[in-house]
Amino acid sequence: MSAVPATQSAARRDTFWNSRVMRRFRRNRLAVFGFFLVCMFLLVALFAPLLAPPPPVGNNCLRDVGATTTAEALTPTHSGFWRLMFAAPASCYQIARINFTQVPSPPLKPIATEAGEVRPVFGTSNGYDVWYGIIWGTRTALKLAITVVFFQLLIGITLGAISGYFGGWVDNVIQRLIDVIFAFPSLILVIVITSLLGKSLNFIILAFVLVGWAGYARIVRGEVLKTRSLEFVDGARALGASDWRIIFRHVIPNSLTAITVIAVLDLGAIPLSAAALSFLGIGLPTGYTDWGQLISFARAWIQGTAENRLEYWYVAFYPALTIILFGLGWNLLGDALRDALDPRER
Amino acid sequence: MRKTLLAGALALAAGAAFAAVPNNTLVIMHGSDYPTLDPGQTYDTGSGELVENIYETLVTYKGKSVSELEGLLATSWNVSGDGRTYTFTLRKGVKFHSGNEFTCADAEYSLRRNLVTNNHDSGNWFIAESLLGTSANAADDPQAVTWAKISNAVKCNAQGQLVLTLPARDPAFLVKLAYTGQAIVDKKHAASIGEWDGTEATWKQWVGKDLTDSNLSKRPSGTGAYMLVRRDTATTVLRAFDGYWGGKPKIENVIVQTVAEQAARLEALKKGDADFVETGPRSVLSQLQGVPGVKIYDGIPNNVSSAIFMNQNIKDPAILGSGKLDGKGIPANFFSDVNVRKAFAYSFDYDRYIKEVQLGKGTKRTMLLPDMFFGYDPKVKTYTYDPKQAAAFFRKAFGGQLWQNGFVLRASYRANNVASQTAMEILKANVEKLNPKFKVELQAKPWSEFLKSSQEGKEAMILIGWAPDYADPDNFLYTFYHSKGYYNPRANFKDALLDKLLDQARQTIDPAKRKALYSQVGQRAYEQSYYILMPAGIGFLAYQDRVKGVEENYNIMASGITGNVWRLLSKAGL
Amino acid sequence: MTAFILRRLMALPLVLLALSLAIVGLMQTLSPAERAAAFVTNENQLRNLEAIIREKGLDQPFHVQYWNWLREVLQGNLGFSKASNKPVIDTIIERFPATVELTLFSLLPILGFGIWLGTRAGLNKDRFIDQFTRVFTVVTNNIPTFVLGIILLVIFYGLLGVAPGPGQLSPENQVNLIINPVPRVTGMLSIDALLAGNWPVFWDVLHHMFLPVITLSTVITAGMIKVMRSSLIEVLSQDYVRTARAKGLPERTVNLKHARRNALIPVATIGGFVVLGLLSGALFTETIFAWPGIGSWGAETATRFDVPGLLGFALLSGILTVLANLAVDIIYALIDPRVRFD
Repeated sequence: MSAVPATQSAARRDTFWNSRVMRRFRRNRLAVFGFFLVCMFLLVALFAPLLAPPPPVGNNCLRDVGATTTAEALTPTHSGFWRLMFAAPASCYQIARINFTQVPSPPLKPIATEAGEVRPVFGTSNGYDVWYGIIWGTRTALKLAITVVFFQLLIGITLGAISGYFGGWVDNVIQRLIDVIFAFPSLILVIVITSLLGKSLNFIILAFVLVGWAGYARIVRGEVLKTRSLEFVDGARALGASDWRIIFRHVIPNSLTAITVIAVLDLGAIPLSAAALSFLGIGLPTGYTDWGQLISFARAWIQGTAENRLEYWYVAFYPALTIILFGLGWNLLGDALRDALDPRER
Repeated sequence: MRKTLLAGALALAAGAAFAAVPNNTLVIMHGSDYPTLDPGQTYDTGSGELVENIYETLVTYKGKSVSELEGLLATSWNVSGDGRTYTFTLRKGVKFHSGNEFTCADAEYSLRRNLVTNNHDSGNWFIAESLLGTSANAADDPQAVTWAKISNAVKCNAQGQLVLTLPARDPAFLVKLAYTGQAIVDKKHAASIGEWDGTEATWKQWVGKDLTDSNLSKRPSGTGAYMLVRRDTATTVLRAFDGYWGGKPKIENVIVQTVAEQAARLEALKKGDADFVETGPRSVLSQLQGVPGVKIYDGIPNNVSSAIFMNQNIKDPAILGSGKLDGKGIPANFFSDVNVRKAFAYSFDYDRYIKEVQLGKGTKRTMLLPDMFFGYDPKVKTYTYDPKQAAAFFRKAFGGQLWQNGFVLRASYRANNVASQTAMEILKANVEKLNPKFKVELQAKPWSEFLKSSQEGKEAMILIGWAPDYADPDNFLYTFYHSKGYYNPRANFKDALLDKLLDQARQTIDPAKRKALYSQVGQRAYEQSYYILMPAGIGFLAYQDRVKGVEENYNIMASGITGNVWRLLSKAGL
Repeated sequence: MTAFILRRLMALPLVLLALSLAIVGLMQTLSPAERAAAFVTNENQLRNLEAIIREKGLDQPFHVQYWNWLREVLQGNLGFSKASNKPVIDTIIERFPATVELTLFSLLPILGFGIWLGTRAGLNKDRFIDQFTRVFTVVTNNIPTFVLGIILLVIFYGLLGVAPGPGQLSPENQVNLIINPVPRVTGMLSIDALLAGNWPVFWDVLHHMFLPVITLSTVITAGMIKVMRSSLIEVLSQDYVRTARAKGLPERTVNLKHARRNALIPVATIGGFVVLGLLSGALFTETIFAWPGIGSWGAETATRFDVPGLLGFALLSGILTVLANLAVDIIYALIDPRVRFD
């Protein structure tokens, strides 16, 4: 069975594409839009160095990938290009600083710098290049969301499975722990943890993981209890299957539906919460490529001048739009998945 | 039902026109809450703004001046020949809000109370330094602070005059008394609501006491022109005091509100819902200029001195990297080479900082002393941005080794402080341009950590400022340059000449001689380039133009955003 | 039922104990100096950091610090909050009613508008109103509270001038309060003004509540609409609804009497979510609109590193959440006869 005939795999693909779930998914125009948005953000993150190339002045990204000019860093034969694509140094995650003026500069307005005239696509905010911040911020958002959800799943599934499968005092301890976590609005708990630990991406990830695994654990535990009572598990056990084998072969696949939907929704929600942390001033360090930061810069510029009340619209508009679209994409996708996988909805 | 509800809600939103602030009322919006209304604890501008209107000090700054004083609760005073005894004649016919008559006993009680409590968060350390010879309270230093010393230093004589006796003369003493924290409280009232009763029997219980939430803070009674009506969570309401000795002030009510969001405060100012708001940095002016009804008073002198510190003995190995001049770190004594300090001073782009961060409204200073203070010498030389000079000094440093091997310097700035972050970024960019082997890494540190580690001498390079406690050069120059100064552990140098000059100045009463000594301090500091001096941004005040009398008496030593005591203000139509 | 409530209530102290242990534990990752800095408000004060550490016992080992903290808490002393410059417990007593007030008024749009639109969408599945509702909820669900708050403030207060500014009262009513004081009964200014018969103040507070209430309720209303819609759709497909229709009952009776009442049952279960959402939303809403509740205080404790305040705020939100969940369980049991307590 190692070599699957091509026709068979094509046929399988075809069956998948025409399966009831996929048909339902495709019919939902909002879902398709959500899917499109999510894909777009993934592509933006992947090609960030090409969309917002590291500038000659403004941060030390070029220096740290060992390139002298932007063109050199974008040449695929140069090692710096591959570093930018897959292992960009920390300095690349500093928003490029065009100048040191707090007053915003509108999109595409030329600004003289030491490296010649530049025209920031989305303008500047606190002297930072908003376009650079949004593009590289996509990487930050996805990195944050994916890392957090991955660890939440890892811990949640493991503890949930253990809790449900073994029961007894192990179950009791884990459930009480979950009770404690559930006894707090998760955002408030994250705020407490990050404000005590300090500003860094790792601490923010840690806080979200600590707070968020419990939901998954509950679902997996419930599913385990349900599955355990089913006859085929007894059958499997009678046939000599180990506990772990039963967990991996039967329990986890059964709870995957519910978990996937929540995980997808979380992927969209976590960067939003992180932005809220930045708003309160306890998020990522200043200058980090992070959307919440850009929104937080915009707080002082939401009003315009006496002549034009919308003078500085762009400062808040682009970051807010980005955040809203990002959340929208994952949310639509999550909703659609739920609808598609929910056997009750027809 | 729901339709009516919705309609009702809309009607609510579109409701009556929103009248601006009434004529007899002043509305001030702060960005954050103020801690206390107890003068004995007041050590921040937020509390100070209210305290200086509820209470009064013995002396105060005259008009806009920061050097001339005039009597407030004292009508006159004389100083003994040795400069150690001050006798104050007190104003007659002054009443507290409680109705009690102001007497010498109240003044005596107030100053003794400050010496007794002298809480660590309060501003009483500098008055203790003058009156007791130590900044400590009796818990920290039981030998130096005794009841005998306190009661001898502050007492009333038979004529009802207040007599203050200093262990050594202090040219800055009188101006220290102008500080809001030394305001006179109502002894009878205070004792009756459970504050210290003023006797020797109980003084020990009050040593070091935190007065932030004291009974007196909750129920203040001063001699000032305004009395507290109520203090809610985010709103404080004050009302003109009918029995004020100087006549009832023009503005009847004052409302002080806490509004954390800057955008909301600016809107309130634009709309006329507030007369004064805490505006934020100069860049917000573009949103306020030309708004009808809003007046901008620009060109307010800055009374803060800020500098980039170059620590000559860095005590944290983590900051040093390799700890050697091998291009991977710095030695602990990196900044003890004067060439390095000068090179850095030549690397900072002062003009760009003024142009981009201060929007052209900044001035370079020659000394770490506000330019309108006594003792400031504009003729002392300054550094300018000069990459050639910088490179030349870097080549000279450490016998050329530095230029050859390069370095990695880890500098810190206070997290969320955009101005100091920007200054560091400018310095970093310019230094790194000189030589590809020069690297400056910037770290944002939370305020607490930043201050603590720098106090322990662990930071290589930081930017920090000093705001005056009282208008005297000693408060600045001793702090920065003396080897026993408060900021010395952050810079770690001992310059025998500077120590000598500063000690001498402390004992010199003759203004001309004292001034000459401070000029010498400035000159020496320039030659040795101990700090990189930050340009001082010029201040501004945006307010409703219906408020009158703001600019005539605006004094930078006043605590509040109005720069005035409120009784001097009035409103159009009053 | 009583036993069930008691059992749930008994779990509360355990939950709080665990949380406080975790927070005091987290604080140990900081140096004593950093913890001491919470007690300091300006740079000049830092000359006495060492003395503050000694005074507050911040250099003691973990168990001593925790024991000290616990002993104080058991005596009703939650410490001193630097963000409010008052003892934590006083701060909570003073500020909590304002948050309750805002929250109660926010329930109007959440329950009123949320259930109404959810019902409309559910009854007209896949028609225009339903499609519109889906887009509406998905968009409102995704506007962060803080972004919405500032945008509303600028549009309705700044640009159009139809809503009042930040705070609870306009200046003339602040003055009004000096002349006609409103005694503090509930602590909620609108209710107290009503009780005292001070109409101008009452209307003024309502005015001032308009934008904060919209800001606070939008995200939660979106959730409410979604739940109501899907719950109704499910009920409508049940046999008894079909039977009712088959019996020839008027559509309106079927919808209102049978379907909607049953559809409301699952809606009750999101009561906990509503309380949670209101509590976290209050952090941002109150900060933006200068509403003097516990939310704006909570946000400030976090940014100002006010550890006792932060701890007090977290404990309070814990208690509220547990109580809210308990209330939801009880309500759920009362309206759904299938649930039994055991």
